[in-house]
Amino acid sequence: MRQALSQLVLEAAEQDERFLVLSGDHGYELFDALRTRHPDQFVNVGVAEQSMVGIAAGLCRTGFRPCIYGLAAFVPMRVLEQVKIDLCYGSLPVILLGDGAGLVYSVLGASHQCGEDVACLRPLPHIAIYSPCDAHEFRACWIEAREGGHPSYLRIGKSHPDDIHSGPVPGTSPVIVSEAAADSAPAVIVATGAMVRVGRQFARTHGIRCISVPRLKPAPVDLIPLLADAQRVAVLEEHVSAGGLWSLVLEMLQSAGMMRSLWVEPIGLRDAFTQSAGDHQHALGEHGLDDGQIADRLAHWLHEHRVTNAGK
Amino acid sequence: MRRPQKTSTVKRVVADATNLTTLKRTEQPRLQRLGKLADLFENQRLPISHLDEPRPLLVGTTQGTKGYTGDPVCQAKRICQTLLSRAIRTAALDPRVLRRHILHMAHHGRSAHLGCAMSIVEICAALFGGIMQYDRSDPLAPHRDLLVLSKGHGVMALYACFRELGWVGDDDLRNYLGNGTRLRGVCEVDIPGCEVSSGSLGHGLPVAVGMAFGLLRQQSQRRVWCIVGDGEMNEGTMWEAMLFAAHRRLGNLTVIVDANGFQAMGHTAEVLRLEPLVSKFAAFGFAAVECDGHDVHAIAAAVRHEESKPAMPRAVIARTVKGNGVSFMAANNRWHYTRLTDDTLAAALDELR
Repeated sequence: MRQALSQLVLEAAEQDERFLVLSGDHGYELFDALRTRHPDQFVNVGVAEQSMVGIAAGLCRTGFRPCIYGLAAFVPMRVLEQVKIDLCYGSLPVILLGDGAGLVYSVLGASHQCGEDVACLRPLPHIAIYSPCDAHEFRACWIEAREGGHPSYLRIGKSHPDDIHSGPVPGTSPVIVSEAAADSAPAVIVATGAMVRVGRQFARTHGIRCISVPRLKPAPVDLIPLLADAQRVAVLEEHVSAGGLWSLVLEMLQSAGMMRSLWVEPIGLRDAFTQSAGDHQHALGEHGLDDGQIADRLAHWLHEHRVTNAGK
Repeated sequence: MRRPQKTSTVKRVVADATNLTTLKRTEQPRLQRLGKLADLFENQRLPISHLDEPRPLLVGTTQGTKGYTGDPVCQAKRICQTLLSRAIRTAALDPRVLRRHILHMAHHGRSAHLGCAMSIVEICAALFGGIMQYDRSDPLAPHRDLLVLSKGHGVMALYACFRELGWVGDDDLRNYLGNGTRLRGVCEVDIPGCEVSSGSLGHGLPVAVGMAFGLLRQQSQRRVWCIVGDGEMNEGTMWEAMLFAAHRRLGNLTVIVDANGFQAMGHTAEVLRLEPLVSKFAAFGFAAVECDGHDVHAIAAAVRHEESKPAMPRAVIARTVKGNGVSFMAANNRWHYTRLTDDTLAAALDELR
């Protein structure tokens, strides 16, 4: 996914001289190709994320198409009010790239971890929010963000070596990444970003449906028909469940009048900061979200609440 | 009628006139001045000194050529006259008139923030009075300079200017802050003439810096003017943006600090000490100078200060008095939040007749 990012940024710079990448002194290797080939189109504003957003807004108002890069803990979290006032209020076509979202920076602790960005951005008018799971989804989200004509946030979580999709995805609507077996339980896993990998793995093993949700705002309403036959839903995200995809799914189901018959299990970050050093899986483990724990929780969810077709 | 078209016409007719063999010798000095003027328009920079001509340039034409449109000299004169007359008209923003508009708006809208609007009246009058390049007939003219009111709470001073320029109407002022009306209590970008939405302090300057950076990248001659408050200088983003402006050599940016010495809760010197502002700006890489912020000519002179250093952003520390213009409001911070009554309005207007 990060290679796709580097490549797409380079392509954008080559196709459009109005395209600029602004960075708050981050992204060394990521932008090497851009910095070598189009040094004018990479602007390191220094360790000054807040003014960077304002500067991007000013550049946009004079005809440029800036893309702001930072760690998700800083872009958009540190600059939330600048995003609201400088970008969203004027609905400026500026792209925010938030890297290392979730607990990717496990060893650097709470300052560099970011499990609340989606919840903080969702109430802001005009902004689109994307959470791609692999290079193919990233490309689709990037294209939509570039053409959107309004602010967009691309959440970049843990990058896994293998792509989820075998080829390009048509758009940013929810996409089935594991289809239910013929006699499977009416249970569906809904996942976004880096969590799609473990969700799909479980779904394949147990023959249930798994759906990846790359676009979180505007609301992915196409998800609702895909849940029509479900009686149990588990929502996986490397983000706090409240305000994240879990809330989003609940809101959409409620609006569609489908909540009465459904159990929607939140599998996301706890309402807590991580407490100790360690690798990404260790940090996830503190939240009950390492690969093994997720598999156990999903098995429990599937077993405990299993409702067979015969029991309908 | 867009200025670029006009300038190229002026350039062309001046060139034509220079080649005229029939040109009277007495016309030559004037033609030279006309040529200079055309250059200035061509570069989209008309310094205030040229607007302050004691008599309009080239008004007198010889009897024989007057009204003869085929004569290039005559054409050039008429074009320059039109441009100049427009420029001279824009210079006529009378601070007393602006203050009266502000008082009426504040009274109609039961608005606070009178003091911080009153302190920037002369700054706005100077900017719209010939320092800034803009088109009175079109607040969104593509070649306009950009004015960013970073201290958005002083917006009534801008609206008063807009009223004089015909960009907002008397109805807008009469219904100020009324339900469903378009003018709000801070600067909003959907009002033509307002270039950013400000109000949350510390936002306007970074955006202005981004604009100046963008215009410089485009090699545009347009300039960016940013009015900031001294209280606003408490915000860290201001200093971040200043570092960037100096590092990127944004010579097309001028920051004007409304140094009225007050912020919402008291004297800036008591709340969070800012001085010495001039040397702080200078230390950050600005060509910084201070001036009397209630003297239009002093402000005009200050913005021209160190024009010879094109690679430096400029700062003017305009020493102002909060609530200036009305004796009982001057340097009285109550008028940051006090509403006008019928009596106080009458008393204030009485002083501005």
